[in-house]
Amino acid sequence: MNAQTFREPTRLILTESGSTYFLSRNQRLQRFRLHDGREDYGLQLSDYTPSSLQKLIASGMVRKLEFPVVDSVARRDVVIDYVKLVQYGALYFHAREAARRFALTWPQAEQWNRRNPRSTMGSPEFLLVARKLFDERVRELQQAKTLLEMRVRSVYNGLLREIDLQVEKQDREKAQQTTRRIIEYLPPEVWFIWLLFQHSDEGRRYVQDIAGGIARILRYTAIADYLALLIVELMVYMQHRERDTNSESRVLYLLTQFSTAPGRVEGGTKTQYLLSTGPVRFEALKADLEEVQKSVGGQRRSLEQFYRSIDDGSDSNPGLFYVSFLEEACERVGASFESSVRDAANGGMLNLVFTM
Amino acid sequence: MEINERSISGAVHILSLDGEMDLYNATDLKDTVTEMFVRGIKHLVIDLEQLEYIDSSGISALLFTYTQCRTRSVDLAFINVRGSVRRVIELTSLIGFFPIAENLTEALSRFGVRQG
Repeated sequence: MNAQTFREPTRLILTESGSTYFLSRNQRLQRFRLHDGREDYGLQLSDYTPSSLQKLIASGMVRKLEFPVVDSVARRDVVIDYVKLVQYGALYFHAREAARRFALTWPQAEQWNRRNPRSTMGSPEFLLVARKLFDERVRELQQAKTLLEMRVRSVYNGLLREIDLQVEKQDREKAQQTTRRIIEYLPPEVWFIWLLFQHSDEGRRYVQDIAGGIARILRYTAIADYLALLIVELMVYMQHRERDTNSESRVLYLLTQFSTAPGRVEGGTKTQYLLSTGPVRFEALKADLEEVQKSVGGQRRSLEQFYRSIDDGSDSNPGLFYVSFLEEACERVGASFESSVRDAANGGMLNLVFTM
Repeated sequence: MEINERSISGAVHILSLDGEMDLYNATDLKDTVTEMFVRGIKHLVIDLEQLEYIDSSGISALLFTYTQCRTRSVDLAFINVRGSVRRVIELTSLIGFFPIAENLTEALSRFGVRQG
């Protein structure tokens, strides 16, 4: 991620915890009508650093984001960086919530809550108790983080061997950086419980299980890159269509919505990307996407068939087929991806949903 | 995007792509390789080390190069496939489809040509 500042006027709709956080700091919330036609309260960011926005997403304070792109060809680097920062933020949030849920299933958590009814885990009083413990045991906490990072690396390498995946050096480095970030965002409950029984056999199993969970989440990192590439491809495609119609409107809106996936036992995290289109682009896009789906034929053709059908590749443009490729890539890592086009008040929305 | 051509002993031709290959310049690669086929080249290496970005039109140009080489029995290797370019090739599942070599030495070895 480049250490740049985003200058796109981004609208940010907060979750309940996000609203509470900003209202308690006397930040006034504004009312917006977003491009999905809904009105919501939130903040308008005029310029911000990627890390500040990512931190809010990872902490579960953001429900929706609306990001305008004036010229997707000239600004594609910005779009790629933006989608990656959003998707990695969602990944950190997913890991944080999964680790919290896991930690709370341990008997130590139940025991703590029974014995300390005034500072049950998750309450503001608990956070004070936890902070005090962490201040007293700084070194142990640091050791715990280092140990967890080592365990994740070992489990991750094992997973790669299991699926016989060749990973480049830069991908390994990225996985390491992502692991550090995930560990940084883990909630206090995880460390608190760990410090209570870290030297026992149970404690070792607890570490191993958390490391296994993080290693499995690391498999989703390539998807963030793929999503960024797909979204740029679709934006450039849509803008290209717009130029054909000589319209003056060259702004595309990328709306992102975060939620949990109710059907998943382990509590998945859903990231939904909506690309707004004007009426002309909507009809054209709908027709093109239907064409892709028809040629895929409901049942996925083999890649070999697809590339052979392109013939000599001279007039082919596999951009829209990225949608189909992404579905396959998600299936390989146990995630899911869906795409559709839907009507909206002033045109249409291209709807992309990634569920971890 | 800049395309630079060099050759090894006049037998192996190397095209180095530099910059970004997209909708607006992907045809440059198609034109360049078409002109090389007219010259009757037999071994072609496409070096992607300096290519920073590729979109679906660029992928299409690589596919064109691949299918044309196969039709004309020209040996082909893509080398130094890294970063975001590799991601696009991974996403489109072309990693196992394209003749990708780690570097020039490996490409020459596949062609059965010794580096002088």
